[in-house]
Amino acid sequence: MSISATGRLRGLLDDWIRRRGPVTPPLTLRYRQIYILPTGFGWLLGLLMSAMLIGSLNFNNNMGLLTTFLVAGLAVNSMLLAYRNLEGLAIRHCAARPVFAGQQLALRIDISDTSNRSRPGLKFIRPEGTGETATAAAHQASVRLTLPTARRGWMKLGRIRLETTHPLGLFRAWSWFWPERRFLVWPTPTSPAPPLPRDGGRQTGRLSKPRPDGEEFHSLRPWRVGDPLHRIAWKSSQRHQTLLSREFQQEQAEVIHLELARAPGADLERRISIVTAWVLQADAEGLKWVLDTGAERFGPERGQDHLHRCLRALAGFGQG
Amino acid sequence: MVKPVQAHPPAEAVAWTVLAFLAAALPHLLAMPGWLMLVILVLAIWRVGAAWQNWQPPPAWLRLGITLALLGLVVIFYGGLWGRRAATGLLCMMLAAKMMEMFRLRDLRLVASMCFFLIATQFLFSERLVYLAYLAGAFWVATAALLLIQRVDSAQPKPASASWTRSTLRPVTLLIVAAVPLALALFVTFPRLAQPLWGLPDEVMDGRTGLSDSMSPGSIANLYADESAAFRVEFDGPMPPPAERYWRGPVFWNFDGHTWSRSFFSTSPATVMPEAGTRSWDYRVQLEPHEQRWLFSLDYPVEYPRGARVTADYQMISRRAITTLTQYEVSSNPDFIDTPDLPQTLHNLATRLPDDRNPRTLALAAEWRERYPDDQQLIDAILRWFNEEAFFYSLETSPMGRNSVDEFLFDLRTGYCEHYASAFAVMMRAAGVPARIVTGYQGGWWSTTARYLLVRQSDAHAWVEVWLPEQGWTRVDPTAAVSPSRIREGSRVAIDQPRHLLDWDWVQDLRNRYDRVQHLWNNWVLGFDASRQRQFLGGLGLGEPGLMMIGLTMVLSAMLVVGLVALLLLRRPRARPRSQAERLWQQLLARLRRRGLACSPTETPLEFSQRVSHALPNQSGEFDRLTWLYCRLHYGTGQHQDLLPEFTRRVEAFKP
Repeated sequence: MSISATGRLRGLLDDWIRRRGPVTPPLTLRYRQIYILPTGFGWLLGLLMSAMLIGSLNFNNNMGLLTTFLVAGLAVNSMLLAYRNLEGLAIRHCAARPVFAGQQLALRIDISDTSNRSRPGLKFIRPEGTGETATAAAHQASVRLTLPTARRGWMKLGRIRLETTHPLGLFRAWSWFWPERRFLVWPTPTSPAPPLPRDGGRQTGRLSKPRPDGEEFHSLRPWRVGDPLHRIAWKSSQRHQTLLSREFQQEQAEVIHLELARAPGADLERRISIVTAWVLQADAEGLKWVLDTGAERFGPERGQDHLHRCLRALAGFGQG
Repeated sequence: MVKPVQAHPPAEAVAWTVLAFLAAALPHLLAMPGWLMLVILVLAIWRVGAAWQNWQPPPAWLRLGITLALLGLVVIFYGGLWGRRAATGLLCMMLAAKMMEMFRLRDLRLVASMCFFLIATQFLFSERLVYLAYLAGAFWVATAALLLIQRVDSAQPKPASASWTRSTLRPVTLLIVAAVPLALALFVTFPRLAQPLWGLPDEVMDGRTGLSDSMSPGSIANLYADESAAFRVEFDGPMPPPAERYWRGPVFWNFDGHTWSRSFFSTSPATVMPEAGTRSWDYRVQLEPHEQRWLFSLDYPVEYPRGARVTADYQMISRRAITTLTQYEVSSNPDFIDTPDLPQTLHNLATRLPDDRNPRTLALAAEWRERYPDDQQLIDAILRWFNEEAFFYSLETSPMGRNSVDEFLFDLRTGYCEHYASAFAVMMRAAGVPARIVTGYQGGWWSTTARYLLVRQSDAHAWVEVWLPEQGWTRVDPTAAVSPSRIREGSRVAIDQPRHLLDWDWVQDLRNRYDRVQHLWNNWVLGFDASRQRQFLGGLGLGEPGLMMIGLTMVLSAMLVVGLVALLLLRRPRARPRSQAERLWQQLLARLRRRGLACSPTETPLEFSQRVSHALPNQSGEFDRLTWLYCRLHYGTGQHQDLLPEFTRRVEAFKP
């Protein structure tokens, strides 16, 4: 009961924040997006100030009053400065590389300054309110915020809070914003994974043992430390005035068929995990593979792009 | 079990917090018993050492034990926890105890913010001008400590290259300077209380010198070396001549052979109030706090402040002890006749003497009474005796025994005003003439430029009043008979003994000049009370402002000031041209903008130059050259600075 009540309150708050102005990057923080309240320490100083005020008034002590009012001036200025520390700050965009569920998502937030100010002591606080990271004064900077992930799929982040208590820790000015996009979380690969279903797949072409170096000439690429001497393309190197290595590729005759429906495993999530592990293994071994999720079919192909397409399909499987 | 090692705040933040505490506590420490001061210093130094050497905090039981012991020390040294000194001593002590557990940022913040409170408590003891420097200094250090703590809290990397001036001195000073306008606005407009919310403890503290409520030989001579101000007076209209500047303080009726003290009669209110006569002195007194309740006035107060009353012996008494600078206005009538008919009981009270003391004086008085039956003649005879015999006006007196007046009149013949007053009063009483002692101040230094009379503690004086039929109580000053210059020119002239090592004329002159500043400070800052505030705001055209009106003025002026400061703080800093070439280029662009050719922010100088060439074909060559020069100067590697004169000349000559 109470949870739903807090949930509803939270929803109301979110609606209110959204109504006040733009809340997804790119945005520039203005007074409509900046909130400010005293910190705990600010309240304490307020209490102290009241005591000083009443005492000085009662004893008709003008120097005491002057001290009190100086502290008041300090407090008011630190409120203005906390506000100023956020005002005019632009949040350009949020980005993150996909990670496997259970890993930390490294969210990169690009901020830039539109008004030539130093902005010390900014803090970004992730939606759960657990982790935070700070960035120093920067004309243009990107901030990394790590977020835990639990489930595969498209992750929609909640409000991120950007706050500052500059300059004296008396007032906390903050802004809320929602990242403009969803972030992909790949399924967790099972470990150890069952062996690749080489036999289960239909075979085309001839069987061949994979060889580390392959036989088929593929391309030339710049020489790297560790390349054996016999692979240096001396003639081409002389032409290009730089060392080039010949790269060979193993002829791939084997195509692996990975079908979500035929993977072992008690439930869908388990099967997805196993297939994910297979996909990764196939990619690591440089094999060609076909992924059939039942709804879509990818391949036969190999390489990074194919891998990412497959992982994305697996991550989003069943989520529409 | 191993405790996890706490991450201690960096030594720099700790050191600044401790420094802030010591700076705020400085005057308190100096007023403390030495042992307490030592304990506090040891704790503060321990904390700084702990920060450097990464010592762990002592265990909780030890901290509690030490804290209780410190509390005990305060109780023992101050005899309780009541009173301002004890309370501030306790505050200092508890903050020092906090040093032992000041290992988190929030503790550091607490201590740093308590420093502001500690600073404010110092002004309960003194609000003199010098403490403005203390306020500024201690306030600065406390703010700096808060700033450094905040830097640690928000994990700001310390700018490696920035100097101390840029990283600390400048931001802290700016923060405080920006706080001053609001502080001043609130100071002027915050409604003051006309009456306190609760009473103040009447306590004598710090052995503050000044007149006391009894007089014994030496008690006024002790004030001779004290050059601090007792009060300042501004006159509206005429001023009494020096010989009539007798500032009436406590009146003493009872004499035990050694000490004069007040009588029950001194506390009862006056039955006959003086009325305005032909002559009157109107003046405003600015009384330095002296922790007693009496106020000083010229004889005899006709109009006096509301919070005061006038006793039967016409002394003004405040309802509360004077613990802060107090201003009041008085109007005196010097021609009032005090008690033309003396009731018998008072007559007896004013002629009572201990029988077994000062036999030689009693005998002399009896002898002279026979020779001079008339009171006035008797008085004149005694004064003549003081004047003609070898009596000396001096500070050098020996301690007196049981028959102090005898010793003074017949053996020593050297004394300060209280000796003469006491001896004279005793002789009068022995002759059957009612007499009493009045203490107060006599004279004062008149500042011709600032037009006020400065009365110092060293002007403290004692004189006698005798009761004569028809004339009532009449002032007789035996000191005037011995040393007329004391009355005319003050004690400093009358006694050719230096008050202290630096008692030279130019030092005295410097002191007088400084007092003028202090007087202004008192007038405009310390004396700014409820009535002055009303007067001031009324002068701004607010009529006779009530509390609501003052409150409204405060809110409006505070909003105005905060608005102005906010405008200043929030205005967008414009990118300033960094070099002479850039400044000139900006001028050039401004001139072209007026011609309708604005350089867009995304345009490079060369692109812009092309556009200008199209728009102003006959000047394209000139502008191309200018652009070329600017690009060399601004984007070049610095070896083209010799082109600057040409660029300057061409920019000035260029008229689009």
